[in-house]
Formats: sequence, structure tokens, C-alpha cells
Amino acid sequence: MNILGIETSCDETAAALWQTMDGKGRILAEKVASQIDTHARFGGVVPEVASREHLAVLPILAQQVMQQAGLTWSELDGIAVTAGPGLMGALLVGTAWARGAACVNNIPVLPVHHMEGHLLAPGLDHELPPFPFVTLLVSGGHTLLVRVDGIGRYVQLGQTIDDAAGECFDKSARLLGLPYPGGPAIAKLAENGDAKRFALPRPMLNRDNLDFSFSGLKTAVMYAVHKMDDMDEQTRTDMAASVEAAICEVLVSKSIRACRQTGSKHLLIAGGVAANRTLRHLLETQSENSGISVHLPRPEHCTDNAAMIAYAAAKRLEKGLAFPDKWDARPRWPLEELSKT
Amino acid sequence: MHKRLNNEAETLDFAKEFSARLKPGDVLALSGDLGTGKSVVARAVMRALGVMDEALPSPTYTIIQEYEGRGCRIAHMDWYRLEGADELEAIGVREYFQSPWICLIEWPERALDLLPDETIHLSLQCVEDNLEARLAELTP
Repeated sequence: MNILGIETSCDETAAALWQTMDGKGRILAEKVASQIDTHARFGGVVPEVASREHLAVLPILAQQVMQQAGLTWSELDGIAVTAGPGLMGALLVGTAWARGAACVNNIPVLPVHHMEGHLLAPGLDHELPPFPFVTLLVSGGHTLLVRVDGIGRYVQLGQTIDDAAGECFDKSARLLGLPYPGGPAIAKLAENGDAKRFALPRPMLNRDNLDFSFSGLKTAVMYAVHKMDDMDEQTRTDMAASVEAAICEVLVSKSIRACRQTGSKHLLIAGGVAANRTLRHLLETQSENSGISVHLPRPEHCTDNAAMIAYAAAKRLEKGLAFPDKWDARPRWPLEELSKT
Repeated sequence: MHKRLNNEAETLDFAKEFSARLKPGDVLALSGDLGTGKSVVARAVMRALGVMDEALPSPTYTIIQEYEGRGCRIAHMDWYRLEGADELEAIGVREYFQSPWICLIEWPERALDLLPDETIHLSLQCVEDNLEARLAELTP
């Protein structure tokens, strides 16, 4: 089975080919074109610009992965495309292109939930662990803990009640005068910083639930920055390390708590923030003490990519789960709705 | 109207108080630098308007978050990442400027021309002598 995956929900345009043969799956080809450079000057994604760029880049990328994989269009079993959630204009470029290409080649188009792609992404690089497991999905727009009971069976355990972890990285970076995207900028600076210099809050850590809140942490960073008349390079470095430590500690302890509460021995991490090395390191040490094994995708599969979209569609097909005949791009699409179908 | 709000609790009370005058079709533009409390006010207004959702996620990435209130719908927007009126037109923000919507907009400076004439403006700024205090200016 050969599935072409398409992803255009935010600022990455991506195409990939996933093949399942004799029960084994692999990526035949994948390409991602990032718009981060374009968006850096605005401090974030700009929807209209994003849509135009997707439109210019997507047909080329799709052609390139087909060539790289050495496949003809008639060898495809379907085109999987992110149908939501995301920016409407951006989603429309991907879904319209996928529908057109599927129609011309007389193959089905398979609408995929972007978060389902992320939740299962660790399966791109290693076999998925036995169900149920817990996935922490952590990115610029999302921070959630999900219990995965099976393909298409997701129970949300907790989420951020305000800002996402990646947003806290971005906004703290802005306060420190660092460039967009903030996560990598803070992580780079933090390498040489003293994470204990600034006592920043660990929001929600003492609450018994599995929810997150990062808006107060951003405010604490702002106050700390305001208190200083002048921020020298070492101070900025130590602040970056302190912010990173605060965010990562909360993410790790809540994830381990989620595993304990659900009796899961496996923790999967997905989303852009999962590429953060401090987070990965902290997870690996803390989970070892708790007897939990951590599954991390390769960094390029943490951020938005099309392989995860093709993979999620392939897994659904293997399971015999149906794709709707009638569907539309959905900017807002609660994850729980997937479990109802 | 100018008002000094000495801490977050006073900011919340103030937000709750002026929420009583909001009705469907109203647009509230929230100005202020990063961390001055625009989202704190927006969330307090949404609570006062009857939004029951447990999580009120930031609209920074999604641009628009929609909610159901008591006798109204609420659109919470963040225009920070937008470049100007054209882009906002393209995502259809005008629809939210009429009943049943009450529209709360952070970073309205991105496209002030697009706001209806009757827009209520609230600006927040930090105060030199006290980290937690804010100066609020409400017009009209």
C-alpha cells in the first residue's frame, strides 16, 4: 500500500510517501519546505502569506517525492491530507490540491486530523508500543496529554488552560529580545546558562489534575526582565536557562503523573517542543526512575511533516476505519470527535 | 476614563464591572504591550459574559477562538501575527463585528482602520512604581 501524505496546516508545506508491504512500513520519500524565514520578520505565522507560499511550493514538493520514491501516480492507493485543525486558508490549499490530484488519478482522498498525525508520529521511526499509552503533544499551538487506547481512540487527559508551552517559549524569547521561533533560540542560549539563577514559577505543578498553564510564567519572566535596568549577556543566558527549566519540569512531571494515573508504561512525545534537548534529557532520566519507557520521534518528525499524515491514514486503513465521503477543511476540530466515528 | 488597577484582583474586578455594559454587536479593542494583561482582561470578560469552557486557550496561534456566552457568542482574537487590514478581511473578521457576536481583539493596532466606529478601546500599561499595577484607559 502506497500513501502520499500532504500537510499544509500551518507554516510548513510537506509531502511524503509511506509504504506498507508485508506488514512492514517505511518512508519512501519525504520533503518539508519551511516558511520560518518568511515569518520570522513578523514574529510568527501570517495566514495569508502562508497560503500563498503553500500554493507555490506544494505541487513541486509532491512531484519531487513521487520521483524520489520512483512511483507513478497509478501506484498510489490514496492521498492523505491534513483536513484540520489549522489555518483555514492554509488547509484549503492542501485539501483542494489533494482532491484534485486524487480525482484525476481516480484514487481516494483521505482526510486526516493533524493531531492524530502528531500523536502517532513516534511510530514513523520505531514500532508503536502496545496500547494504551500516553502521548504528550507539545507545540506552539498545543499542550496536551492524551491516552491512546488504539488507532482512532483518543482520550484527552489534560491540556493548557491558556498559553501553549511553545507559545511561552516564543513570548519569553520576545521579552528577552531573541528571534522567532523562540524555542530553538532559548534552547541555544540556555546551553551555557544557570537554570537556578532565577526562581520562576512551575505553574499548576501542585494541582492534582493534568492541565497546564503557562501564561503566568510568561508574566513572571516579564517582571524579572523589568526589574533589571540593563540585561547583560550572562543574565539573558541565565534567564533563558531558567525559563527552559521551568517549562520542561512542568511538562515532564505532568506526563509522568499521567502515566501513573492511567497505569501506562509507555510515554510518547510529539510536537515541535519535543525537539528540545533539555526536555528529552529530563524525560529520559525522570522516566527511568519511574519505570516508564519514553518514545521520541526523530526531531524532524516532531515538527509538522507529511510522513505522519500518510502514516496515520495508513494505520486507519489497516484498522479498517472508514474515511468520510463528505468532508471539509476544519480550522477547529476537537480531537475527541475522532473517537466517536 | 483612566483608572489605576493596583493588582490582578483589581484588574479582574474592573473587567467584570465593565463587562456588564457589553452587548451583542460590540467590539472591544485591547491594547498594551506583551504581558500587560490583555489576555487576563479578555478571559475575565469572557467569564463575566457566561463562557463556561474550562480552558480558554490563547488565540495567538489560531488568530480567532470562538465561545458561547449567555445570550451572545464571543470571538477572542489576537491580531499580533497579522500584517494589515487585507489579511484580516481575507479571514472574514467583519462577520464577528455584529450580533450575536461580542468581539474581543488583542493587538488591534495591526488594522485600526478595520474597526467599527463604535469600538470600545481599552488600553493597559505598566506603572513605574509597582510591578503588578496597571493604568487602564477606557474610551468611550
